[in-house]
Amino acid sequence: MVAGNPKRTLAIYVAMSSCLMMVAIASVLLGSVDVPFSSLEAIVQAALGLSDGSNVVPGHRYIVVDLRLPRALFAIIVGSALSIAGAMMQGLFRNPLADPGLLGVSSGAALGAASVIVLGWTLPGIPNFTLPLAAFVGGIVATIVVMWLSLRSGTTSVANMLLAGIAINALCGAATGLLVYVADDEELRTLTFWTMGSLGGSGWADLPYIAGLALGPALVGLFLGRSVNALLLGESEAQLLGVNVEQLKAIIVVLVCVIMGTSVALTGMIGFVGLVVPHLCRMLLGADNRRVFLGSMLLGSTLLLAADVLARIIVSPAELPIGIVTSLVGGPFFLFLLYRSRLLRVS
Amino acid sequence: MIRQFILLIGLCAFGCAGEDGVPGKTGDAQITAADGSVPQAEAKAPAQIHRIVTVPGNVTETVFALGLGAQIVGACASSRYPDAVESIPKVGYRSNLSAEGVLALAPTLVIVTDEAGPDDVITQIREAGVPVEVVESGRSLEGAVKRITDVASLLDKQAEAQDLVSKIQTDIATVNASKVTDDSKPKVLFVYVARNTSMVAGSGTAAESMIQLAGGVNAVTSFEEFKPINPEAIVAANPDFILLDHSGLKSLGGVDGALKLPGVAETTAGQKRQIIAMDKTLLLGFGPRLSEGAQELSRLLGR
Repeated sequence: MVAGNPKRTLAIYVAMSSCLMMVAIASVLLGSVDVPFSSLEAIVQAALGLSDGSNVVPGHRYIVVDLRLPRALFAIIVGSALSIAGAMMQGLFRNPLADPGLLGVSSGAALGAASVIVLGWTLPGIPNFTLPLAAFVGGIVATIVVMWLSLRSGTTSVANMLLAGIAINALCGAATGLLVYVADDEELRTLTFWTMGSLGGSGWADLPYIAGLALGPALVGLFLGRSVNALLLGESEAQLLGVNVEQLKAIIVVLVCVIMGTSVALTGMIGFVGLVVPHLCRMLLGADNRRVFLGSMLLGSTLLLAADVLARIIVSPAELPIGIVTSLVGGPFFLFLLYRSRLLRVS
Repeated sequence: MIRQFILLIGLCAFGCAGEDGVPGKTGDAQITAADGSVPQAEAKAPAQIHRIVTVPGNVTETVFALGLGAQIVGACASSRYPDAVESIPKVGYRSNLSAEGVLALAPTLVIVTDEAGPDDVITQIREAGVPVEVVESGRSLEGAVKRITDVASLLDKQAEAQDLVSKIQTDIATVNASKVTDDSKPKVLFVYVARNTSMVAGSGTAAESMIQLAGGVNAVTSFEEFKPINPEAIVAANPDFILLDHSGLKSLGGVDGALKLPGVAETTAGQKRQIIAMDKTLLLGFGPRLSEGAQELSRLLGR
């Protein structure tokens, strides 16, 4: 069976979707409060109008419906969006090591967040929205600067984009470092935990933002697989194949930047997912980006959701930053796959 | 070439002059230190006018409370009380001191708690001949009393310290007197705001000590120190009050913002809107205003 065989591909999609379903069920069942399955059944029946809800424990209802459910949806959306953003970046740079961070968006967002945490800025009227907004704006501004620096006589040079991204990352890192230097223990701790990401703040109120600004662009990205395939052959070859390369690059950068800016703003920095999930998909599904993009969304959401369940239950009632879990669980798994594929190639 | 050489000499001369300016006094301190025994003797000598550097805020407050605020020439960045501290040069954050920065103030005595650091810097300051006295950092009633007594004995202000300590003990006794039986103590969750996850005070924290002094119990004792908490665990802990510091409450957008923190709405604190805030130095400082802090918290808890 060769990767790329339609039946096999379909089987993998089905397997991925079933995994996602199972992890999703686990994520509403598991947590620091013990909600029995019967309780969950009662909540679902009440929600579907099958019962009047009199048998629902109100405390359990709150935990499942207002805490676990929005959080699970967040994890699914952020996981799939981060992964497809990574896959698009790898296509754009024609480099499997490319990561959305190359556009400067994460470091710009970190600088925005650090400014709010350390300098104590608050926007009148929306104080608790100051941090996500600053992080989002920081990420977008950093990307705009990178894009502007990589423009050369009307076209974007991918090599320049890479170099400008590295420079902007260094600059933002230095500015964040300065803020870290003046921060006190409390601010430092807040900042450190922020950079490791968390889905702990996810509620229904933020869900429309993440759905519109992360899931939306991710779904648009699904339609770019064919053009990105052409791009893999080289920019001029893609142009000859009828792909508007400049437009494609611009679309990818905008999509990735909005996805990353929104996710980082609302959940902090969750590393590893965007880099590794597309690789896993390429191993499973072959190099065709149409498959890699869809597979990344399915696998990325499953991975992040599973990581969040672990983050919530391992040290309960405390909580681990999710970035630690994604790297701790995903890293060895990825190494194992690399090792196995090496063995396969040798034999 | 010659011009450049002259310029270089000129620069050197300028540099030396600059160094002679303030740190000349540091030089004096170094000489005093060379013969070893002097610093201790000086520290104990009555009516000695010191140039003191104090780290952290609770030591600064203590020296002020002992009436020697005017002798403080440098304090750590987190010293915010009393107002007179504003005009005192800041030597950086307590765990991130710089030897040269401290020495530039030509101190004759540096009083720190064991939280101050880095250790190498403390050693450097000592080696430069400035006596560094380390007092305990314990954030409890006993710790605060010991700190006040120790700082006072370094400055020969034992009588003043006795007054401070007895006032603190009387005040705390008054707070204790108003306490009822154990099971009616309100459960208090101290949220040290951490944006997308709430970080809360576990056992062994300064916040817990203060909550206990004020007649409450810490809502979360299943882990130590400050950790991000799972929102479900907030529901399970079901605190009667949610306590923040003023800046934390402000960054959340006031009481209404705090009520929107995941999990809070379902707790007694959330349903009764019992979200309370205090000044951070008063709440967690464990300086001479300890009993004022306990009284204020006790009042906020409605005791």
